[in-house]
Amino acid sequence: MNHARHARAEQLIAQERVEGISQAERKWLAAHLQECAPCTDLARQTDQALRSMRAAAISFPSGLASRTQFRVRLRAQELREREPCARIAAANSSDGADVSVRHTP
Amino acid sequence: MRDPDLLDRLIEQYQFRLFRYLLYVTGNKERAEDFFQETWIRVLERGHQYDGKSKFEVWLFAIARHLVIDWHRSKKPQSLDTLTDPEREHPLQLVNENAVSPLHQVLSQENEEIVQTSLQKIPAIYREVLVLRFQEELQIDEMAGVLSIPLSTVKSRLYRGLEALRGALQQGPA
Repeated sequence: MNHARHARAEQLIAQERVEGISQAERKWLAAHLQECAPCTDLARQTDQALRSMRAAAISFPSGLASRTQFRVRLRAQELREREPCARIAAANSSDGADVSVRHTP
Repeated sequence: MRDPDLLDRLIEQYQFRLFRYLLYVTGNKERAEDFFQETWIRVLERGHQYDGKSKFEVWLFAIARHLVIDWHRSKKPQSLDTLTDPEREHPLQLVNENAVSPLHQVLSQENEEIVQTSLQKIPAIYREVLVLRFQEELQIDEMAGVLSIPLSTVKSRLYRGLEALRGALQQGPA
């Protein structure tokens, strides 16, 4: 068992989890793992690390969603109230542009 | 996206995932809460920019990430990989509140502590890709969209992150 085979196995173990490997690579890796205890350990540790990370629960702060919904509604209302003013301002500004164009000799 | 009822539903649907992402990126619960709220305000304001070509969560995480980076840049010029300064920031606050029984809680407590401590050892830049790939299960091209980096960089961060996670867990909480 040479170093290159272990290195390839190590790379394929990570690659399989990150971006996937081909059928031929999977076959080669399975065969290697059957006869190599250290690489089998590495594969097991990798899976264990990912399982542990996925299983780490997060406490969602109580009331955060409803506080956010309230703030979003307030902001939506603000934006709605501003919209007519913005439209009037835009219309005035475009009228002004038109006028200036019309008055340009 | 100016419809508050629609936003209410989106907030409920994505609340946990967005908060988890922000918690992983900032490493700080209070800050993650602030960014959570700001992200949804930004969704309201910029909803018209969402073209529907990518998954909503990809766009949502990108907005959240930009807010974090903007805040960080306004504070001092440094990159995301130094976002979590262990000397100054609170560590990731991951707790096992979903355990259904006291027995399960006792049995899993030790493992939870190991995971929490291990995750704190990993730089934020790697925690971020790990959470996007292995918890959010985003594709690598989707991650590249969220992070605004090339596919090759996403992959190299993932490989390094995976190695860091494995190493941190092997070392244990010490």
